[in-house]
Amino acid sequence: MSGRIATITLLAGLAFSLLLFASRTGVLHLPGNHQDYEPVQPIAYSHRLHAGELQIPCMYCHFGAEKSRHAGIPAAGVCMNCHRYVTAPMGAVRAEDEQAQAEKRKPRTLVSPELQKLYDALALDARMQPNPSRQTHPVAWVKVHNLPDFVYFDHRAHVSAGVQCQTCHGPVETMERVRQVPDLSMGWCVNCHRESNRTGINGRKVNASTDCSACHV
Amino acid sequence: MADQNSTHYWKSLAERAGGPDFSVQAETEFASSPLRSIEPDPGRRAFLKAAGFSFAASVMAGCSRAPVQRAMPYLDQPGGVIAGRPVYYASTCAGCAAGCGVLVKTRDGRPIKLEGNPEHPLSRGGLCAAGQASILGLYDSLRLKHPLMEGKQAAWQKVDEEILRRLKGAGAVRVLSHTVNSPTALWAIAGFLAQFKDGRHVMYDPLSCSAIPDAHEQTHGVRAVPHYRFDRAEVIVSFDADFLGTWISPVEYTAAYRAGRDAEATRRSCWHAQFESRLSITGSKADRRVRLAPIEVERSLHQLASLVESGAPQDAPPHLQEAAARLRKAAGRSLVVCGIQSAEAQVLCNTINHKLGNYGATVDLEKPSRQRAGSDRALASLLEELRGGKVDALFILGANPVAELPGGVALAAHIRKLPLSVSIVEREDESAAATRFVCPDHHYLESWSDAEPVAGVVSFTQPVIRPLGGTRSSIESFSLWSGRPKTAQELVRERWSGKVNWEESLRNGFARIESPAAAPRAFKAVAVPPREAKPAEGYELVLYPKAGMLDGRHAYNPWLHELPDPITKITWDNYACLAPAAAAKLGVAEGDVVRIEGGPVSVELPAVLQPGQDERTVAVALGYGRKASARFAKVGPAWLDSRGASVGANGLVGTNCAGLLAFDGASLRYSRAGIRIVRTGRRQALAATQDHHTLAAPGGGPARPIIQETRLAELTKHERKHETHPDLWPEDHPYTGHKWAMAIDLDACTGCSACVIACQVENNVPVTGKDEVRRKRAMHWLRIDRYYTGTPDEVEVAHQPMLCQQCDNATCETVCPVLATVHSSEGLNQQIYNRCVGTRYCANNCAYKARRFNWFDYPRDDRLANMVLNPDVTIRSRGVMEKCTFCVQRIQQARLEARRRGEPLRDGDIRTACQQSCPAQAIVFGDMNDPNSKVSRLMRSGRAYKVLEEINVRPAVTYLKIVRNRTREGGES
Repeated sequence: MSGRIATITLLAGLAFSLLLFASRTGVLHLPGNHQDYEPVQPIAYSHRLHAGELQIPCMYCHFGAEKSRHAGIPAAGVCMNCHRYVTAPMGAVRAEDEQAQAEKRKPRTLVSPELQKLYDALALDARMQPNPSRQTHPVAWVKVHNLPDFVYFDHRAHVSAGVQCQTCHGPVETMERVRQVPDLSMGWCVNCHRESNRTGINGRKVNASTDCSACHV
Repeated sequence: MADQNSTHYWKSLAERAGGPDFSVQAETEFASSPLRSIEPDPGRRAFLKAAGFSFAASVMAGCSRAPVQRAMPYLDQPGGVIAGRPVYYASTCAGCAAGCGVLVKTRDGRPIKLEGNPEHPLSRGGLCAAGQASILGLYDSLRLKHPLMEGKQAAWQKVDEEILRRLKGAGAVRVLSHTVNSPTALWAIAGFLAQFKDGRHVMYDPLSCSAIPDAHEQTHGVRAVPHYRFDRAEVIVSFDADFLGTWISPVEYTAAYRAGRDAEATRRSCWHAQFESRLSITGSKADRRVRLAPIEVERSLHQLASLVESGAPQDAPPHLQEAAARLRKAAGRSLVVCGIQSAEAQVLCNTINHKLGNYGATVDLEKPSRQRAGSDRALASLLEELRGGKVDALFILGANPVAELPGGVALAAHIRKLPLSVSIVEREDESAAATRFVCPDHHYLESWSDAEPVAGVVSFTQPVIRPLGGTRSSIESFSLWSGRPKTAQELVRERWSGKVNWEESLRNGFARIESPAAAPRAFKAVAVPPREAKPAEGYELVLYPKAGMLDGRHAYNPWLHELPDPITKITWDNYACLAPAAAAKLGVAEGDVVRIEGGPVSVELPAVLQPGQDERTVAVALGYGRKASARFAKVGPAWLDSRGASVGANGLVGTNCAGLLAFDGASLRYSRAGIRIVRTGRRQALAATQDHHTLAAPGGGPARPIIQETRLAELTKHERKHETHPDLWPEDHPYTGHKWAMAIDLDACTGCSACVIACQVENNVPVTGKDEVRRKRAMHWLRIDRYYTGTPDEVEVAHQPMLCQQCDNATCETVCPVLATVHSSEGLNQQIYNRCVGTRYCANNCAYKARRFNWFDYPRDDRLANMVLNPDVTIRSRGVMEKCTFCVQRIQQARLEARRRGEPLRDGDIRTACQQSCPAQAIVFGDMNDPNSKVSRLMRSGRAYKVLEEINVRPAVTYLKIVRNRTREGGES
């Protein structure tokens, strides 16, 4: 009888430590932790290409980060600043140009299938003119970095303090599809606040509050 | 401390009487546990089962994947719009005709809060409870979304065609509305009526002041309501005019009244006498309050007139002689106002003001008010025409005559007989049900309009959201039916082009214009026959509006129903107020249902014992028993709805008493003599909050100096001497940065409750329903405690806004087992909802009873109504404690904005919601570590004190003593 109890206790202990170990190694997440969340987006937009290769500053698209609580996802109109003219990858356009020259014809306008989704959202026709017979519809991006409803996070405070975007969002400029890098847990936030108060950010002294009401209002 | 504050204050007659019942009630923080009343104590097994189930359920919930959240950006982002950043638009409140300026806070395209416009020349930054609550009307899912034709939904085009067809050949066309003070709307209506042989626009007010213009027509030759300048008056005598509560333009008057009474700022204090039958908000602030039956109030006015005229001592009582003496001394700087609906009384009032030389000083007739333009005579003749069948077409604009006027049922029958009747309203009300067509109007936050509340001041209304339903602005409807269809924007713009700078006026929300001055002719004396004082049989009935509910136009609004009345502190009902002496004579106790007989109809209402009321008077609120309140049958926690609805047996909140109004053809009268009061033997439970959350000493201990007062003559210029109690942990909280504090001036506070609603909107405070309020579970973070002193017959009143005091040595913090309430480095008591497990220890230990517990998840299933929620404030869930946070979200916003701009936070950058809304500017918030901040200066004032200072919890809220205008002996200075 006592042997059975000992076995059950041991098994339970083993299961518990396994669970703990698994959650530490990132194989398994505790409820509410969405680390490594990497959802498929409606348009396969590449941060690696835009932010990494083309060096477009983060704030060009996410301009709300300086002024508002939300960084914001750019309106389709912001994409169109470039994509009115850039409709396909450079390599494909160049290949088409060369082929057209070889075949002695005018190059065709190439439209990549992903960008076509953007034009469809705006109901644009092939000449980039609005097509009144079609409905526009906003692009329903999937939010990657979600905080619980009882947390107040303000981008403006962090940007004006000089925190790099990558500190919280990871090396987005290398990501083909955006992934949540840190676990965004309260402990992770508070550690950074404490650390920053001690060391400052970029050599500048900061006052990162560790009051509960800094985030919980 | 106690020597000059020996005045004993009490909140209710029960408290004054004391006794074990009251002590038990007062000491029970939570009226009852819902579990306790449902089932007997659960056994150990049942408890273990429940615990196991809850644990399993929470584990299961934790295992499920978080829902995928979508983020939808604009396709083409409008300039200046940044997600998450509020944009403010200046507009004009249309909660009543006072025309207060508002700033509409919109977040991501939806309006979520109204703030008073500090630059507005009339309202000066204040906004009343009804104005604050009016934003909920925008998100009302029962607002009409389509036009109706013979009760059925129809298309606008069809409705317009049919109306125009029936208008062909119509002779007598009438537009019936409340006061319309929009020049553009008046122009559109006039243009529409000009098409007909006999077109007329009839305006009336359910809270009529029509006797005032009637009297001015006689004495000054102009039909106008003067613009009263309370700020210029040094002596105010009011006869039944509740100008701080509901009379004409209370926000403007409160601001002006306060400006004239701020003894520390102006070195003088205006003296105010109030002659009234019931205890009104205005009466509660008066230096000298005289309670009289309505008929005697009128007689006093007669006596005062002859006293001012001749100075003859007569047989006038001393209080009148005193008022007359003070008025004469302050001639040209005094003001007599009269709320009696009788042209003779108003003529007397004009005569007094004329004799005193107040015209042109405190009574402005050259630039008159347009906040009450109704004419009861015109209304009477229209009703006569309707009875005689002489009207071809009736357009009811924004009014509800069937519910607001006596004889409503007969009126509805007459309206039904008309060949063409159109209601232009927001909701399908009693009158709309009688009309053939209903053309839904925009909510004012959806429409272009303007207002000229006082001649020379134009206030603009601009849309802040696209119409949520298929509604149409009334201005557009009238211009379309005139054959000149134009948008309201075009019409408003054309109306003012060349007269004002359009862009600038829209940005400011108002403009000053050259208005053709009304030319009053010289005063003409009109003889008023003296009133014979025949002693009336029985009681006199007074019908009055409640702050918030007003004439009933806000009956759809749950916030205003749950707002405790500033005086009676009763929610969700109207009732018959009786003086305690009268109730004793009748053998009526509080809550006994009495029948009020003597008018054309009799009504049954629960009785309320109202200290300070005249003994021959019974007072009943108008604006209740409205069709719009039928929706509240199920308000409150869903699974409890069988346990006591918020509506009465009639399926509505309260009882409509408009049938008791007296209408003699000249003016709507709000008092009626010869009333009998009969006991019915039934009882009805009332949801009164006055004995909830009492701060009285437990066990009937010695009275605590919660309310403190000083005398005008003793107003010290000395700084407050801080009584320093020893502190056990002096270095516990160094407060090196900011230290937030608040100062509340009890002398300025009128109890109007604008702050209560402002707090409710700002902080997503839920509505709980009548049954829950009775169980002490109203959720308001900020309540106003109303105290009486004196005898039950003659009382003096004090209003005290009570909220979390953010104590330095907070009693709540030490008892929380999970550290869900802890102190911040800036002196706030933080309440962390996601950490709270709901032990309620903190609430039990709070000396100020400022904490509220979420007994339930209050219903949030109306998705449209949820649009009003403030996204910066967490929605609290069941089992969580909550309380005032000093609007910490506003502190954060202001701080982050200052940081972004790279500037330090300035005094005044942070304004809490209650402070912003206060018409009297009684609330000041700021940093007490900054010695020059306004709050620091007030904390050093000679009037400063803290509530329950003796228990040394070191609250961050400082109260300023009430200033009583009298000497130590009890006479007045």
